[in-house]
Amino acid sequence: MTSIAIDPILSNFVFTANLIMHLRAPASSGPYEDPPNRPWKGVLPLVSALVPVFNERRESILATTKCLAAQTWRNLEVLFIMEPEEADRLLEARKHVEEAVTLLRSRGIATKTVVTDGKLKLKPHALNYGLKEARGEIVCVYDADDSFPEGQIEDAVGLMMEKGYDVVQPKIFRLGKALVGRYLMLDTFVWQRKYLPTVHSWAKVFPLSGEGLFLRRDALEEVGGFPEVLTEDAYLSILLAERGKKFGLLDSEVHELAPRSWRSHFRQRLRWFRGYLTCLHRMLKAKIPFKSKLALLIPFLAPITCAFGLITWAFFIVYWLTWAFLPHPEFTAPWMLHWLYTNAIAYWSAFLAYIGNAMVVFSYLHSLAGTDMERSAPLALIVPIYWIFIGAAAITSFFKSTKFWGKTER
Amino acid sequence: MRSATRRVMTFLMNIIKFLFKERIELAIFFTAFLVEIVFGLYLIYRWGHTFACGDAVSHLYIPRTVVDNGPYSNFANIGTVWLPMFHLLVMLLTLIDPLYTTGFAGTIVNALATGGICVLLYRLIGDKKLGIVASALFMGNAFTLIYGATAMMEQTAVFFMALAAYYFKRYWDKDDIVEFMNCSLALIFGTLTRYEVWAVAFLVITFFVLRELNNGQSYRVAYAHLPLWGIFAWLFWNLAIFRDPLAFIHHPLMMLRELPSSPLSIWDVVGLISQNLFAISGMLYFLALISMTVILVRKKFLQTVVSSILITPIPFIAWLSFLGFHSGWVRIYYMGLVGLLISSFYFARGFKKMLRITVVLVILIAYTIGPITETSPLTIGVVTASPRSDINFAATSRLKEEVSAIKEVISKQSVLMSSAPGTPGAHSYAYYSVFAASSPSLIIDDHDQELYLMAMKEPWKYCSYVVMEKTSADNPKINIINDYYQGRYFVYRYYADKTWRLEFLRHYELALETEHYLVFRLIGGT
Repeated sequence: MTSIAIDPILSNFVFTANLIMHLRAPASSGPYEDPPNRPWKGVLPLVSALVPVFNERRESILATTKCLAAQTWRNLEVLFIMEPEEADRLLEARKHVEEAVTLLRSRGIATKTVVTDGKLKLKPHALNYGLKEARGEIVCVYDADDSFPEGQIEDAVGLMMEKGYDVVQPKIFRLGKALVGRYLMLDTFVWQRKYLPTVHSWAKVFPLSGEGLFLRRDALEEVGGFPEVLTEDAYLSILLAERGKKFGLLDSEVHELAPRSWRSHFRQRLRWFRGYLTCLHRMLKAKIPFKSKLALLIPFLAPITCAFGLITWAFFIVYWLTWAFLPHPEFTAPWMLHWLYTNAIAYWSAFLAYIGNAMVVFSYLHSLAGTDMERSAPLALIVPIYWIFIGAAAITSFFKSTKFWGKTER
Repeated sequence: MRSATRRVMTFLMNIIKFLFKERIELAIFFTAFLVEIVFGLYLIYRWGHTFACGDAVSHLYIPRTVVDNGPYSNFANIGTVWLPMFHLLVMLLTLIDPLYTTGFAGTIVNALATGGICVLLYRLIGDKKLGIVASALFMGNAFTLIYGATAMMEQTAVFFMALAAYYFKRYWDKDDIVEFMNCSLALIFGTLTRYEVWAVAFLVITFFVLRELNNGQSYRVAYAHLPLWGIFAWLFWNLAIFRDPLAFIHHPLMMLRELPSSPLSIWDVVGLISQNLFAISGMLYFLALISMTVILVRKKFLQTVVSSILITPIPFIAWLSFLGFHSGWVRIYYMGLVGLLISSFYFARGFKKMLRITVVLVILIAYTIGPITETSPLTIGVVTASPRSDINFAATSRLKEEVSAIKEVISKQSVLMSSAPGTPGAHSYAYYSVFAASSPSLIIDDHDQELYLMAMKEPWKYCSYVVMEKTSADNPKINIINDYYQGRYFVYRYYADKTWRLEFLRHYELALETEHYLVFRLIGGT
């Protein structure tokens, strides 16, 4: 349908590429590697955990702090990174951080508070400030409101040391009880079970997420620290891939709170899409193997895919409404008379529209089957409605600045 | 080169390993497949083709019109009355003329289906020796031989049913919803192959919902709609192409079916059922009835569920006969044969040693009574004894001779042909295309959309030849079709509209008259 409306090829290509991801059997473990047996018997490198806390609630900071305090890995330092306007000791925000620092110190974990110059209110800018102060051989990043198991740092470091990985990423799930949270959870679940394993198996690299991200400090410094763009995590994966760094997936989970409302989710998606457009631009110029480039292209094309998705659904509805109420609706663009269109592209489009969409819904249900997420199966049935919402965010993202952070309210 | 061969071999070996769990399964599959292929070759040797009846001819013609119909080649030609799955599976094979004209394209697809059914039967029974005996009995059935070697849809539908039953059993055993999704996929394909499988889909959903509610997992009911996706797809196809989701019911071909004028009495239905079941399974159906009761009393619910799923076409078609919607062809009852076999063998599994052997012997005796008394091995492939059977190789062969004579007259000129079903079963254009090796692109028929409508109105502007079936103006069939084409049906007009007939005869002369057809040639050449 989009073929009829906008272009005869591109929308079909992006949809087909995404459909291929769904054809893969869901990865329960697959590329996600088990950590070496605990306790890790090799050398114990110092790990610096960077936690940006700008504009965070006390409960959110404490949630992450408690998980860090419970870690089995003891050669750890934690750096809370603040913006100057919150750094005053009399302010509530500073008090919350001080409380977290006290808690960690009481457990014998070296903890620091780092204040940025406040010139750029982007997460990567804060992280680079933290990096300057960090002493660890390995750097990990957590956000406020993250929760993760007590052995996660030990498992990640063990895996990095044993397999020689430069980057290790656990599974990230965004939880929420409201409808928006459940949909986001559904989306990230499919991302973790289908997309990420497929991209990893093809490209040996994958778009990184900013929570629970483990990096070797030397690798990070080689690419000049965290790139100061909206989606620094995904952008970083391109820079690291260019230098041939090894990526690993850890079979462990980080749970993050989902956005509080649809509005907040919309802002989050806007940020991701704008960031992905920057990544896409960089990716096209990247000097990485062609196969890896193709594999990374699929997730980085997400803003375009989702935008086409919305346009497709809009035309779909218009087409069927006119079909139902007009005797002989005619949608004939000049290219539609070409033999290639009538013999191939029309069938390709029809396949994607009618069978492709059904296959994606089937794939969602298949991903949930046999997991704790099975209860979300009813939501998966109406997931195309959620795509319309995501499509709106994708289209809006083309008109927004790439400098505006748009922090997610949880 | 060696490396490429090795890769291909490795690929094939991986497929075999994926499909077959044991070597015995591979042996069962290839034995069944080869038996059908050899039987198909025998039919070609005996009759020159493998078409058991007229419908089989149409089942190859329809998919060919999708890919070889000149400017009117498109998927809409899949049509509305017959479900599309078999046509899609056989489509590419119909492009090879020797496979198309002999019907061997259908033999290949159904031989594969027969092999698959035998393997699934073996797996479902879950006992090596009993599984092998059950597969052999199924394979040795005269109807299996015929429907596994001719281009009919039943065998493919039975395969999908057996596949669904197999996955449903795994789901039940392991409480794994992924297995239910696999079962649903099999049912999606099955419901797009034969309408009888629609009843199976509803039954599977009922079992699934009851089980999940009973287990307190009501959220899993969200998966219950999956087996219906094939049905939804078919309704949507009918809506999109024919502007009526029930076009497959409202189509004149369905109206033309020789239905009983009124619902049958319960005794007529019982007579019909026992007559057809005896034809396909001897007295096995009686034993199956006892077996089902026993396994249910023994609370072997899974065995009861699997047997019920596979037997469903029998009570479903009997019910339709009772309501007067279906005349109850024996081949529909044949679709329940796997269920009859499996329930009897589940019954046998309940015994040990000598008792088990005794039950198997009883099954053998009960099963072979029918074929011995009803179908002589020497007449296999000619006609079966059941009055409800449409297997008739001799009749299709006579039609082959008739259309070959027509082809000699027409050669490679374009021809307008009727859309009324001929005798026996299929449309004249299907016989003409298949038996006379004529491309559908040379035939103007109802697969040519507006061209057909224009050519029916003024054939002299569009084609050199017209093949008219021999009939009369009071034939209700041509009246119904004429109504469908809003008064433009050329056969009706030839017999009922004197003015049009005179105009027609001003342009055409009779070139040939055969038993069923009149062949007209355009006066003054092409």
